[in-house]
Amino acid sequence: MWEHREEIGVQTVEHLGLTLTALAGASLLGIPAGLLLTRWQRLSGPSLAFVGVIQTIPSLALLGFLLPWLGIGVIPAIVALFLYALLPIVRNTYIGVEEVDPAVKEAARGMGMTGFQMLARVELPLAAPVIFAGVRTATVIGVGVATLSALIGSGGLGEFIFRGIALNNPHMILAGAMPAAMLAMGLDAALAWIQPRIRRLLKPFAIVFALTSLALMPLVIIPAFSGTDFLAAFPTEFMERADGYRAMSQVYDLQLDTTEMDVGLMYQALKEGQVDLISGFSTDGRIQAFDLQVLEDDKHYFPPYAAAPLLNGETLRRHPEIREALALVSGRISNLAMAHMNFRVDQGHATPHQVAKDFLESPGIAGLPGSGRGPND
Amino acid sequence: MIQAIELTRKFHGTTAVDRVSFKVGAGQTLGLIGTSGCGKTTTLRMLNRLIEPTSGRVLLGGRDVAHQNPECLRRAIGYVIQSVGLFPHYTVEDNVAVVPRLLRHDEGQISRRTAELLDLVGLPPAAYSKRFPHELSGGQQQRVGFARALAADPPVILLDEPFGGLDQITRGQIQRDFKTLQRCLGKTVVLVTHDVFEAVFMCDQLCLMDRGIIQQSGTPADLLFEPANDFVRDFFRSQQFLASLQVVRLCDLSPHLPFDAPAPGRTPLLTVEWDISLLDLVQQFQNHDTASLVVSDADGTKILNTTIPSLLAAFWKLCADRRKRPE
Repeated sequence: MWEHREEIGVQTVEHLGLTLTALAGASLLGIPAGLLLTRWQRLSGPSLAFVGVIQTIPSLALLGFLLPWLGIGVIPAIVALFLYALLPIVRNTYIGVEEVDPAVKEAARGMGMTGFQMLARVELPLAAPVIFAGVRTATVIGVGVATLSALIGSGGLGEFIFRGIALNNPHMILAGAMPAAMLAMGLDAALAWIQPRIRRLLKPFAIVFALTSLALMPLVIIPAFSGTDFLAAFPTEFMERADGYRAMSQVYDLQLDTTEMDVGLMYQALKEGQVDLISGFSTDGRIQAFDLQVLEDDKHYFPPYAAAPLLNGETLRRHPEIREALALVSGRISNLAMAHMNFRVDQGHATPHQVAKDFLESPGIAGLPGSGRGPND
Repeated sequence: MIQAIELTRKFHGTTAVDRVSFKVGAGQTLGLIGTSGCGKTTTLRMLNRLIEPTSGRVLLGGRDVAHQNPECLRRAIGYVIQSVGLFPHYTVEDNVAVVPRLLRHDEGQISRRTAELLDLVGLPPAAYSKRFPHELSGGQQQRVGFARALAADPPVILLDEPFGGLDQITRGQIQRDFKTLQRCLGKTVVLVTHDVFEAVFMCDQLCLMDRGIIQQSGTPADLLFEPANDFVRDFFRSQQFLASLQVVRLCDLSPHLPFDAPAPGRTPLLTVEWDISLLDLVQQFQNHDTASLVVSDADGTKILNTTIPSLLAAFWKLCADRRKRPE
């Protein structure tokens, strides 16, 4: 892990930048929003339900959902983190102010405080611990969700984690997970320390926070806009493995600007024009669906990646008929046919079962010339 | 000083307060009394516009409060509630200074005023000003509540069951202290309470309310001895005796007691005021069978040699006289 220390450092800073930027935005919007809801009680139910619904959207789904509008990179990652941070902050602000002892509010009003004075001198100071608890919850959630933003090429400690998962390398997973966990605990502890001192620290804290955010924001956002004319997106595994991007760039003498991205999101990002090149599966149905173009491997860099059914030997001994059934289709599915079948399934027109059945019942199956290759990478 | 004219407040079709009118003179204490839900608190809260009346007017020093900015109005009126509502994040000192700070008084003046008030309510500032409300007993918290209400020296103070949350002994002490304080500061007070004894002890005038309507207004003695209807009579019944002892003063009994001119050589046991309540008088010499009292007033000094039984006999006579009068 030690040889990666520099990279860990960079990713930690990226991670911190993503989290803090989103958190600052969510606090700046969420706390006033929570306060407004205490004044407009009728809006509180629907509004809290709405931010609650956002919270229930799975992280990856939210990133995919934002893709058509915000593309990939740091901006959608910050927006997603911001949306996740809203619920705890808005709800805790609302509850914190609502829970202030009614006798105290009554006394404050009876002494002639205006609405704003009540808020600034009584309700906010008394609600501060609850509001802080919300910000702390949002921070911990944010550090966690920020790892996922590595899937849309926004950096952060998630890069290590997903690389480690792809390469089945637990050390690499830990190299990302441990700093992330420490970051979460560290930020939480820092906020816990600040909370009782908030009244004294409000000004210096706001200044430091603003400066940190300002300092980190360019680090995080500028790379997003220092956009290149031609951007390639590859899954983490392809970036790392020996027969992946590194070797390919040598064979083809390519110097591409690359970003790491989740396999599932790549095709859509290409369709939306967010990236210009991806490493796809030539049999993927979306190639046809999104009208994508498969490039020719004229230097034969990629070996054929034929799909090979793997069976447990014991299972095969007990059911020898499986061998015969598989032999029937072995070498009989062309790339094109495979892509077409994937297309039918991916577009949701048919179930895999139906597509397979149609294929087996197609009249030409026996006469198909075996290409000798299965579905290729 | 304060005048309510036909005050009415409706909530969702039910009338909580129905055409309530009263006047409180400067330096006087008016008690709004009645059972829970009779509209007494709603009436009080209309005086400083925490609730706006559906119809009717409130005049404060002759000016209609509806034409005043509600916040400015409230800063000029002391307000004390049963649950006190001290700000838990403020020290005692800062709690007392809330209204003067809202009024942007000079800080030096505020700290002098705060110290003075804490002394006045019996909490020496050296020991209490830096404490937080949770470090105080209930009685001490309520004392801070009174100091806070008095901080900007408002001519009028509204009290909403301020003694309700206190134990018997603390309540008695704070009631006495507040009464003394109010008399010497000359504050005009409106007190909401359901406690009969507290009402007759604290107030010069009472308005007994039921279902939003004033059943009877008058002095405590009027309500006790000449109830306008059965509701008024039933309301006082359980505490009739004690309340009557509190209401009747020594001077009321003078026609029925043998007073002498002072004679040299006799040392009187107690020196008392003319208007001491019979209850206080009895309590003062309950350890003695006979007492010799010295009473002074503008006409000179009189001596009274009496016993508790003879005081009570005079009291019964007076009560009987008062009850007979309406018929």
